[in-house]
Amino acid sequence: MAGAGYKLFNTGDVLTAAQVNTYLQEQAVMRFANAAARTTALSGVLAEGMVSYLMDTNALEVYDGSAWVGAASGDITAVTAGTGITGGGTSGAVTITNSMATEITAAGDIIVGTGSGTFDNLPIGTTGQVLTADTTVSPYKVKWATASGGSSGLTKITTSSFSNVASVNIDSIFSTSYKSYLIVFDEVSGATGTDSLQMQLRYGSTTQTSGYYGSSLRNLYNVSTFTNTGSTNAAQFTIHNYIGAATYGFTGEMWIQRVDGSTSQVPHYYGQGYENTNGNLVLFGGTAASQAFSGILLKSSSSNITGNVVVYGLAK
Amino acid sequence: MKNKIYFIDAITGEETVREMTVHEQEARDAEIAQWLLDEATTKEKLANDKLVKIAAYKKLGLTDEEIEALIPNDNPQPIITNG
Repeated sequence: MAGAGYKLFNTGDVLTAAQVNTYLQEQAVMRFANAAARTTALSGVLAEGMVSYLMDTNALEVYDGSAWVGAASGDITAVTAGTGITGGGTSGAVTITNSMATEITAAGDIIVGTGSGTFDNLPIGTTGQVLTADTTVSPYKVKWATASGGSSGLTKITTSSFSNVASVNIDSIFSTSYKSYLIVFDEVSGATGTDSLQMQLRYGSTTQTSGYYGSSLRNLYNVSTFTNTGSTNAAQFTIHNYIGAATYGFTGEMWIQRVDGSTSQVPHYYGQGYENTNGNLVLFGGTAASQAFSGILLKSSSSNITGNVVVYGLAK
Repeated sequence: MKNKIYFIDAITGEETVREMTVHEQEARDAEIAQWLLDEATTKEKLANDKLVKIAAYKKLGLTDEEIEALIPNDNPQPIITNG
C-alpha cells in the first residue's frame, strides 16, 4: 500500500516485501529518467503523496492524487526596488535600502516631495522658524520662515529655570529672525532680597562689562515718590534695585530691541515689573555699547539668584 | 564654596550648571566688593546732600516739619519687607 506512513521496526521483526515497497520505496524520492519511465514504473501503485525527481527536466514533483505537480516552493523570484527604495536582487541574501532615510544627513532634516515620485532633503531652519508653503520656491514649494505669529507675533525662543546660581547666561537668543525680544521674569529672587537684579549683554561667550546706561524707577505703593537707580557707563544695567527674597521674587517683562545677533548695534531696553506684595511698579530703559549681541546674563548685585525666565521673539 | 553658573543655549536647548573657575570666582568677588563700595558711596552722598538741603531750609527759617515735607524720602521702605 503506497503511502503507508511510518512504522517502528523492533528487533526480530520480519521485513516483508510489502513493507519495503510501501514504507521505504514508495515514500522516498524516486528517481526516473523521465515522466514516461515514471508512469510505467508506478503503474498500479500510484498514490497521493508520492515524490519523484525527473532527471531529464530536473523537476521535483509530487503526485496530488490526480496529477504530478511541481513540489511546493517560494514563488518570489526577485526583489525589485520601487520608489523610495534602492537595492534588490534575484538570489541569495538581498539588501534593500530606504532611500528617504539615507537622504537624511543631519538632525532636523525633513524629506520633501519635489515632484511625482521624487523627493529631496530640506535642512532644518533656524530656531523659531516654521515650515511655510511657498510655491515660488523650486523645487520644494515649502521653506523654513519666521512665523507670522498669528495675532501676537510672539514666538517663544527659550525657557530657563535656575536655582541658587551666581549668574544666568542665556545665549543664542538673538538672531536675524527678530529685532525685538520680550524677556519675561517669573519669580526671580535673590538669596539676599535687598540686592539689585542686574543684566549684562553677551556676544558669543563674552560678556559686555561696560557702557550700560539707564534708569530703574521704584515706586512703593505707600510712597508718592519714585526712587531712581541710575546706570551711567556702568558694568551692568540695574533692572530693579530690590530683587526680593524667595517667595517674594520679581515678576516683570523687559523688551530688548535693535538686536539681531549679527549686526553690531546699540540695543535699547525697557519694561516694567512688580515687586511681590508691595504693589510696586518699576520702569527701566537704557543702552549699552555697540556689539553683535547674542544673549544676556542675569545676576544679583551680591548674592545668588533663583527663578524662571522666558524669552520671546517678536516677528519683524 | 564656589558659586555656580547656569548656561542655556537657545538654539541647542542645552543647559549646563557648573562651578565658577578660580578666575571667575575672583572676578565675581571683586564685582560684589565694588558694588557694595558704590552703594555705600551713593548712600553717603545722598545723606550729605540731604544735610545741605536741611541746613539751607533752616537758614530760611523753616520748621523741622516744613523741611520734612519738602525733602522727599530718599530711601522709602514698604510696610511689608520682602528682603
